[in-house]
Amino acid sequence: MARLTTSMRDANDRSGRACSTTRRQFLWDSAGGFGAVALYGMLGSEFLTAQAADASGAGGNPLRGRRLDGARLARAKHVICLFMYGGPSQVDTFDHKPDLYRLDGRTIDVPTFGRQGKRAGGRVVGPKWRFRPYGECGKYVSDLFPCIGTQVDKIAFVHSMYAESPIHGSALLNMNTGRILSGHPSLGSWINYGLGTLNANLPGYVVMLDETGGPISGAKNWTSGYMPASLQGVQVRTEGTPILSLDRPGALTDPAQRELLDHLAEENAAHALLRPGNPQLAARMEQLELAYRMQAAAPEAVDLSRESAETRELYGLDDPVTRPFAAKCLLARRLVERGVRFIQVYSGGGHNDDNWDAHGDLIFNHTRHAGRTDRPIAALLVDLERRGLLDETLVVWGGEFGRQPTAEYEHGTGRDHNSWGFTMWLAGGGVKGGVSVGSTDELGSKAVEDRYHVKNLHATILHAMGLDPNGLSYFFNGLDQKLVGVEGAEPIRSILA
Amino acid sequence: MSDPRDFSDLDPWLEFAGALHPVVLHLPIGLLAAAVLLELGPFGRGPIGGPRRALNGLLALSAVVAAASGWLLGRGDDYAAELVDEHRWQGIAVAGLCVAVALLDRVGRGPRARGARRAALLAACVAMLVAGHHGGMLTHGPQHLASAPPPLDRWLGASSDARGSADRRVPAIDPPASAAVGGPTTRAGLESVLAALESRCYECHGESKRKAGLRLDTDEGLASVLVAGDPAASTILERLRLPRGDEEAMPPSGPALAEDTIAALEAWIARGAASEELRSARAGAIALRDERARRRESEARLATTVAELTGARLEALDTSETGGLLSVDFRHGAPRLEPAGAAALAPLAGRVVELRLAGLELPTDALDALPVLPLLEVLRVERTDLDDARLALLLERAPKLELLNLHSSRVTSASVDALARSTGLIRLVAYDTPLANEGLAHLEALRPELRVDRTGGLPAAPLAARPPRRILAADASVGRVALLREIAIGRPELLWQRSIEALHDLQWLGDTSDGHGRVLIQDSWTRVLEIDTASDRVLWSYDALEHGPGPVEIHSFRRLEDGTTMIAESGRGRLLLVDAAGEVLHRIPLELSAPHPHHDTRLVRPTPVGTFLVAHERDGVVREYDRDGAVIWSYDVPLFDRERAAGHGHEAHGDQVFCALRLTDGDTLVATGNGSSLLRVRPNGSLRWHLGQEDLGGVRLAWTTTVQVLSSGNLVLGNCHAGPEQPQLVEITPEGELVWSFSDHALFGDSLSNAEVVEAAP
Repeated sequence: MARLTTSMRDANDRSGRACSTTRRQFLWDSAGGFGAVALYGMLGSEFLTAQAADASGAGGNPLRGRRLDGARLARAKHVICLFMYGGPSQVDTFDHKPDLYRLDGRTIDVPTFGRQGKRAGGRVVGPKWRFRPYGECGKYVSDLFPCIGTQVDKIAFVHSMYAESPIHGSALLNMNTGRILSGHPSLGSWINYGLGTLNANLPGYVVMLDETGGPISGAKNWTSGYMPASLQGVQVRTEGTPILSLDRPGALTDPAQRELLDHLAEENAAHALLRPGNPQLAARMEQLELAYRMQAAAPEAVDLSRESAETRELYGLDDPVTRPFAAKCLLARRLVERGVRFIQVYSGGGHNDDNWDAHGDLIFNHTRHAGRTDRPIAALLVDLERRGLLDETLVVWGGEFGRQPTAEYEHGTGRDHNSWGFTMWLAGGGVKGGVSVGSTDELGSKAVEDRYHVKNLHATILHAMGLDPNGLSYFFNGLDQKLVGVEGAEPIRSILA
Repeated sequence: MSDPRDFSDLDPWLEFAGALHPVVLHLPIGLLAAAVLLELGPFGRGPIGGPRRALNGLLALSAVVAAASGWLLGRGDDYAAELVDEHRWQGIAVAGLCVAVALLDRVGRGPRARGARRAALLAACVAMLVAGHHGGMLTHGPQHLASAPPPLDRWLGASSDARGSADRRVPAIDPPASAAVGGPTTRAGLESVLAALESRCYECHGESKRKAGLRLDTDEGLASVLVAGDPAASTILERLRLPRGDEEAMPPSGPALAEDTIAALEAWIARGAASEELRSARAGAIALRDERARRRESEARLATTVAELTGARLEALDTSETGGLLSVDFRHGAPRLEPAGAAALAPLAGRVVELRLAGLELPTDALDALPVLPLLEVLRVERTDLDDARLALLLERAPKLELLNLHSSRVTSASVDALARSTGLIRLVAYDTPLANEGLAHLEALRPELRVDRTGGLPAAPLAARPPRRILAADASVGRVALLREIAIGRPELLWQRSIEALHDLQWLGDTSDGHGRVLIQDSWTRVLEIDTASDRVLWSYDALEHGPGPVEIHSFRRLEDGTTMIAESGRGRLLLVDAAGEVLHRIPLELSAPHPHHDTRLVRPTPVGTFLVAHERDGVVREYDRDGAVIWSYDVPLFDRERAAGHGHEAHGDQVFCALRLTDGDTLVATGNGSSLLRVRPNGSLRWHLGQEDLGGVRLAWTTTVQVLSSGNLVLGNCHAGPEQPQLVEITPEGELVWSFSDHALFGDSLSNAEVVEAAP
């Protein structure tokens, strides 16, 4: 970071050169800049920095390959984030609360905080599905997830998550960017910023939305915030055109397009001479080139017809219920194989029962969304493992918050939002399987034991990727900004392999 | 006599004035408190204006004097400069604000002036608190409030910690990674001493600041606090080793120096504290630093060159300064491994531990050009066109290979021997290769410790994989007996139904076609029917009214293995064995303490030894009869210390036993009816276990009715009159864990009394 902050400050130096640092200087800075290197224990990671064309945001992926903590050997190289938008109910999925069944219908005093504000108590809605033990670890999983149940020995469950907001918009930002306010870079941007891309022909950060639409606030959830735009998520679709506006217009030939791009690059370079280190301009120049390379690489990457019949059947690609989410999970695996660092897949979009936001009829809502995702998710874990990819791919499951043990309305089974306690799980690279940590109270209402903030989850993911969560920073607005906030956060060590 | 205006002679006076600071400063504090009091309540207005102005004037004056004396005191260098600076400005702020209060009091009279004055007064108070706290830190140390009781201690202690941290500087001299290298007496030890002096001591005892007149960055200064050759007499060692709580301990803040650093210092003193040695250690450390920097630069140049020539991404995997281990990833750009790129890896070949070629085209000439990689542990060549010949080329170059990912390549069983010779191999991913289909067994025989991933599917989920069941069930309150078939878990479809007037028993007799079968049911209290559900035709029947006058009711019947049918007639108090033609072959009289046509029996079940277990509802007793009607075993259903209660739902309680079933091990299962429980009773009548009303998570048992043992050993229990929120049937493990439940409150009502789960043929 010291390295980085220096570079960012250099970027503002109006020396009149395209880059205020000469190549030699840069090499010296990154490789021989003793103080900074010694300070952060980066010895040995100089190759990566030397490969970075430019640290001012003007390179392909600015700072690509910057490993901030070389002391650890990264276990995970990719993250697949399965985002259950709307907030799945923990007590109906993975957080087994046997005592809650018999309280069904009883009015009890339990403080809650949801979209209806703070309440002192309410009518308990007992868990609507049975739980049964799975795997060698004997983890209890509800009948919503009979397929995921078979994979529990690969999974680390965190039952004591809590977030800062019980409202979708801010809670999504919280989960994606670490803050409840807009404008900060998302987790995928941080990871690409910290580690760089593994494939120069594909974006390092891909987002796939639910077929019913995007989550609330849309692109804010995969923005690169104050970081260069080349670090933001690229939306890829499994139906129709995979990447919008990527195809070459009909009449344009490849040589003609190349000539056009070369000319544009020349003009932009001239433009950039007077605006040294302008990250927006640099990102635009790079995006034009990346898009050109993607025209060649993307069609192969997203072509699911190359998958075997057995694989299609495994994911449930031919069942109309599971097909949309199965296609996204399968595509996520293909993108991991091709070096994409961070892939986020949304289950649920739009409004009301199009996502996991079960305010009205819990049984209808959760049966629907679990039914669409259970098999594809289990298949993804199986498929990653048999291809030897699970060791270096971290799969994260969860929503922006959980749900309350009590009913939202006078009648019905709907539950209101609950950010005081909910469950998320991680599987694969860098984490243990078959473990559960933390717990909520006996009603599943509030995290009480080994409580973990969203920041701790982010720290865990960064740590599993070989990054130092409290070291990875980006200088902006006079502050070394961090995903986990300037106060820092510790990873959830009890689930780390 | 010196001239009093001689500036140099003023110094002792100024110093004396400075020394008065701790005394003088308390005057403005007291006056400030008085000024605040005067502003409060009724004193704020009216005739006290004069005294107040005088007081505020005095306040301003005393604050200025206190600040000035503080300035004079702070000129000395006995205190940490940072803190002194802060305290100085805070003190000046207090003085400034007090002057502002006095001035505002003088110029203005209106309410606005009063407001401004009070604001300034408040600000002065806040500034005073901050300045006072820092003053305390200066005189009593940064932790002077750390002994506050919780929760105050946390933020007081933390804030003073953050302020007192003076150790954030980058050491210009590297402390050795481990000071223990070569023992504390070597030069490496002295380097750590130098590094520690530089980072922890020079701040106060250095060129810019010499507290207590001591410099440690010069030979003379250092010599003044030690006695060459006599560590025990050396002040520096004594002070470094004082317990951290001691006021004299050095350094005054932060942790103590590492013990091996102190030991190295001690050893050097014992050797005679030669300054030559120290100087050469310093020169050595600086030379080492420069050498490292130079090597780093050349390393970076080499890596950059190799990365450019190979087109691969190089990643360092450890922290050694040079010669670190590398991961090389060729997927970064081109879709094909080029011979030139492969050959360009040569300068770093000895350090590559991971090689990633996944998804690339791997021509033979490129693999030929690849240098030997003596440390290679992980080789990923999945999704390539790699065949046996080219795998052999790769294996030759990787003598230490541990993980090989071959999935979706063309490697066949011809490679088994080559793989078996790769003795370091721990894990092989062979999914989706010709090798996975044949030859792996041979490889596993040769290398039993090798972990091979060859396949992987979704394991059978206990729910999703269980064959669909049929359920034969009846609820006389809605006049329906029905056969259902699960088309998915939890989604049954209706195969057959028939209307009935009354029913307390049913039996599945066997499949006929398309999921249908023969069933034994009743459609009134006296008539038993055998029906093929496919055609709804009656195949056999028995009507008690044709065998004598009433009152009589049938509450149980069973087709036995010999083809006869057992029929229990309440009111007549007997069991009958009836043959296919309707002839009564045998009669077994029942023992009844209070005969009743509706309550003599509930279910009657044959035992494995040919006797009959009869649930006597009215007596609350299970009796086992032999064929001659002798009672050979009986069990009086207990009430479990709960009062009898009327009703049918979960609120009811009693011993109106519904069903008893003899298990092969001799135990008896008893569904206690309005006892809302299931018991397992030993032959001697003691309880083996007891499943009570609330013992199944989420299910509340009401009238427990039929009991069935499934082929898996699990039990199916009827849960009648339990209400619309509760399941009508539950499946539990022999240990009492809930596995599955059935409820269909649309088809059946709250009186689903009898059911049988029909399992798919194995």
